[in-house]
Amino acid sequence: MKIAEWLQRHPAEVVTVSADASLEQVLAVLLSKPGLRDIYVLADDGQVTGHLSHNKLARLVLAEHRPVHTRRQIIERIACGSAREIMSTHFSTAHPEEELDNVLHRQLEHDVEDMPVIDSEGRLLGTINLTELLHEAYKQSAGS
Amino acid sequence: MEMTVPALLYLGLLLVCGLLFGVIASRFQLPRVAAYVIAGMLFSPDLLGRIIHTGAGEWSETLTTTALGIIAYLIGGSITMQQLLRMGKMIVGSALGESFGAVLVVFLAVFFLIPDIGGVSVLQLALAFAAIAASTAPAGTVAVLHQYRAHGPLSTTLLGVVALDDALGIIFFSVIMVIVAGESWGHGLVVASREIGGALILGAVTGGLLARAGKHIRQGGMRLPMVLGSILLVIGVAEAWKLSPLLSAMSLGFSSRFFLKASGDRLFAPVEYLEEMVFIIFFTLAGAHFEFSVFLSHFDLILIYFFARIIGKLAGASIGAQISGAPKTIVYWLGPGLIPQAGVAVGLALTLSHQPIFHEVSIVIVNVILATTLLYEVLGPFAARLALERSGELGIKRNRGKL
Repeated sequence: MKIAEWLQRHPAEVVTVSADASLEQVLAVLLSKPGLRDIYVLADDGQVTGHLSHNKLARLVLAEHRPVHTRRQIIERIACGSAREIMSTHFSTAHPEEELDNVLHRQLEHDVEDMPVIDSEGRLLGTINLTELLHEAYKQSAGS
Repeated sequence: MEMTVPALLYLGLLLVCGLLFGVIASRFQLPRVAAYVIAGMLFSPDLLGRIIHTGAGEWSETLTTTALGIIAYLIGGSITMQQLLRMGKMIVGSALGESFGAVLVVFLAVFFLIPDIGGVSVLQLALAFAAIAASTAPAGTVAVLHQYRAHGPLSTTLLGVVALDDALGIIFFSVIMVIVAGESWGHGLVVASREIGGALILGAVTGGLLARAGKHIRQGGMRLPMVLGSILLVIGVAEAWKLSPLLSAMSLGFSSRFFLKASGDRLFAPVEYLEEMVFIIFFTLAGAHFEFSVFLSHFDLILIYFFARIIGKLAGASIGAQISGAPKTIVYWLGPGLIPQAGVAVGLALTLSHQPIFHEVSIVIVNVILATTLLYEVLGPFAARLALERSGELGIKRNRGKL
């Protein structure tokens, strides 16, 4: 099955912020949707430029509760920048024309819960949720 | 009975004993630094060192240079240009003030108050101690801020200054070492420009290449060997070309973070796990250099360095904060939070002890820095707590295990 087809059958809401959003603004978005674990950062032209995980944001916001800091963490704590500076620019993605099997392999390899699907123009189309894939596999095995 | 042990066995014993003592100290909430030093002291000439011998010459120099190179890389990569600008002139000005204050007062105190101890001139000895005086250990200050839930402008400034001043410490150390090694002041300055400028360029170019490689190598397991390889390569080339290895490694860290931008931390997080091991090596190796007779015969030097560095930190922080327009609370109370001295200073002392020019006084330098590090480790948390209390930033003491 192609990824595009999977996305049509399993539409998933994706949450994005602008690259200029402050940590407080990103946090407000994260907390506005219970269970949200991934936020994608968009450039001015709408292309996806980065990813912010729930864990990374928690580490930044709750830094003062950590008794041990590296120098990098100390500086992040007192001089934290916008989403552009704190996002990760290296993350696994899928293309809508790829086969689902290939993506699933990558998803398991890199331990990714929600794999973002990005088209050739860099626009975010949705995410492939690992739990939904498990559901599908379970249904198929139960049916056979 | 005397026995000679192979270098690797000796290093293994130091690491395992250091780790064991550190774990015990942590369990009883005692400072780990002191535990590592005491573990190293077991192998000092007054104790097991009488019977256990090792060819601790070349290998310990290579080990110390590599270990300090790793720390310099982490220090260089701890900050980006945007973060430095965002920290503002108050933090940067205060860090410059307290670092330069410690260097200047220690230099003047050793130069004018210590008689010739032989081996090197008093000027060279004063420069050696001044070169080590700037760095501050961030761990103690962070622990006090955490324990008392401290919040406010002083706490933020304190964090910024302790995070920055190791970088300034390495810059001061590298510049002073180049000048000390020069044949004359004029010659020294020419050599200094070449060694320092060359080191910065070497680190910047290699950092650009490392960042490029970091973009393409996606396997997490490949990052540590890639970064360690780059650090070793840069240190090796710097030594071959007679450039400053520490500045080269620091420039490598800064430039690779600069070129990789938002994802720069992927080149640092794997190496940060090595920091504790590096400090165990420094403290146990320094502890193994402990000699009670040296400690007693140079007690005056220990006291002078101890008080001069405190006075330099207090006065320098106050002047730096005042010039950069900081509020009175910071001008008065920043200095007492900057007393701890630990891993970087001990690493610099060990590096210094391998310089041919300081060969005859190396044991004195390491013992003085070791003794003062332990004294600062005791005094530091009390002074930081007092500063936070007087500035009104002390919160409710944290109970263990509770948010």
